[in-house]
Amino acid sequence: MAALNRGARGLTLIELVLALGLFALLTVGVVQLIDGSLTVIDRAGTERELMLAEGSALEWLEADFASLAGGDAADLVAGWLRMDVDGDGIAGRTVPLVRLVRRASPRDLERLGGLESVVDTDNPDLDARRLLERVGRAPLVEVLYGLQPSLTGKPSEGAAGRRGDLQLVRAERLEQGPGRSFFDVPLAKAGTLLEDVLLSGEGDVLAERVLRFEVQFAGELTSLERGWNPGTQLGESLRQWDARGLSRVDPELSDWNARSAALPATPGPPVLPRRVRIELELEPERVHRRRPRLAESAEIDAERLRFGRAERLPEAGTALLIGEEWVELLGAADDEGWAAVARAQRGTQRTLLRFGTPVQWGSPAVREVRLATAREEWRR
Amino acid sequence: MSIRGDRRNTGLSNTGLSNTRLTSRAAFTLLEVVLALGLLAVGATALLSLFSYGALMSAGARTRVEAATALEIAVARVEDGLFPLLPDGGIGPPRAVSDQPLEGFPGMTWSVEAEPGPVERVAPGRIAPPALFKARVTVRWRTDGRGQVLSKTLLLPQTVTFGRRLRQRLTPDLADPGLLPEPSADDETADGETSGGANE
Repeated sequence: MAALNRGARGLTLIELVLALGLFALLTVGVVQLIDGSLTVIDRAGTERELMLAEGSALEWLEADFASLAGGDAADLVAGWLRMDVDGDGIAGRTVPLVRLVRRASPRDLERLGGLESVVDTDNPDLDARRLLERVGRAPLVEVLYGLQPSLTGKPSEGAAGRRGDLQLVRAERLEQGPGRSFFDVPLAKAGTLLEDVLLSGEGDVLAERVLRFEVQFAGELTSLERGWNPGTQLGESLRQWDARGLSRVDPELSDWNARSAALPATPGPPVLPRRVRIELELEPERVHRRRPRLAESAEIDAERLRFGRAERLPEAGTALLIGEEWVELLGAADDEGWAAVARAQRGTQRTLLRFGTPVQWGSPAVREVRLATAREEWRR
Repeated sequence: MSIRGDRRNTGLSNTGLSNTRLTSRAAFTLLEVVLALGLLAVGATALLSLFSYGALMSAGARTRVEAATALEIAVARVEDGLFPLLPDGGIGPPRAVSDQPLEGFPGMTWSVEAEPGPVERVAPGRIAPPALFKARVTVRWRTDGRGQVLSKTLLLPQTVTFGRRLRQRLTPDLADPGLLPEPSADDETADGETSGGANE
């Protein structure tokens, strides 16, 4: 052993401590760098995911509203109903159902198989656009938008999402007259209608994990210079719309269906809005996977909530969906997970919040569409 | 930097550790290890910076899409209400808006500045067309502390839509004063002073 000690000179204690210290410093630096980069990359991934998901859904909505049919063929019905989303037997979420009529583009006809109706057998080489020009006016397409609970295995096998999540469904069909129209179904039967269109293949799921989908309308008498203020008085924007005044929006189903003074009360020629505002909010995958939950049940009048995994909560000011109630997070949670909230936001009502209820949030995307059929050209 | 050491002499003799072989196996010096780690850190920093930069660009793309939408909405608002409708039915001069929040777009503000546009010559005896104004609509926001701007310039005639006149007539309580949420006393004075020069 003496020979061994003499021949192998190792590091002195000071050298070893110095080496370990330097190594620790470098490791901390590199770990911080990696952590920061991963955070940025994660955030960017979320933003990209939302941009793609919300953007594609909103593009469909914009395109449909922008090509609304005008004149006598026009129709638009938008109403609200309460839906049991989480399967607890209580219809607690207010969701919209929008039905409209638009002119078919050649692309629509190809997709919906309606080219046969305008094909000129004498000139089969004519392209779809020239065919439509020859016919004079394009056929009409009925379009439907609604929110459908995402239940495992129902209505479409293998549908993504957990119980309690909502999907944005869009369906379309060439107008085929009474008896085969989306407009024939009462608003209260929206759930059945959406299941039917999904099962029949007429409907597609445009977006998953929908937290909020709202549509507002500005009529001829709606003042928007001070922003969108929904209500039933003249000058206020409208949450519901019935273009033909046929009482197809049942006020019993939701307070948001209350008839506006800005809309005709009796049946008559179709009246379309001049502008539409669409808001869509989806839950990002990252939040979906790591949802915090309520760590304690909260009474209806509670102004502070206790969250589990509170470190995952977003920044103050973010709107949170807890069960069927929207709240606003007013500040950071303390060490025990308690945080102050403003209850009953975004038109929802205070509810009893149960232990274990997941907490969801997203990033809203907004679009406004000016309708070509209602463009105000007369200026003086 | 080279790896030093006699790799052929890594075995141990039958009698145990050989001090001769141990002395001949040179290892990295502390300086070399620190240098290597330093180089690793620099390399990792450069590499991760690239990822971070790409990620930041990607994150900023959504904000720019949102800003473009916000700009469209602001432009629509300007086209509708740049010119105040005066109580006597005349049209006032364009109003300026400075960094007003836009609902639904947290963190973004919009502004509009208008200046007289090109003047059209009118033949004697012909009715003069409405004056043209060049309006620059701007949306501002901040990304990671840096100010960002998106803007669009419009050429607008000093006119008011029929719909807005209708709304003013039928809903006087909600009648819009123009683009500003609440006109200040100065604005009202300015309106009063300029009402005589209105377009009608």
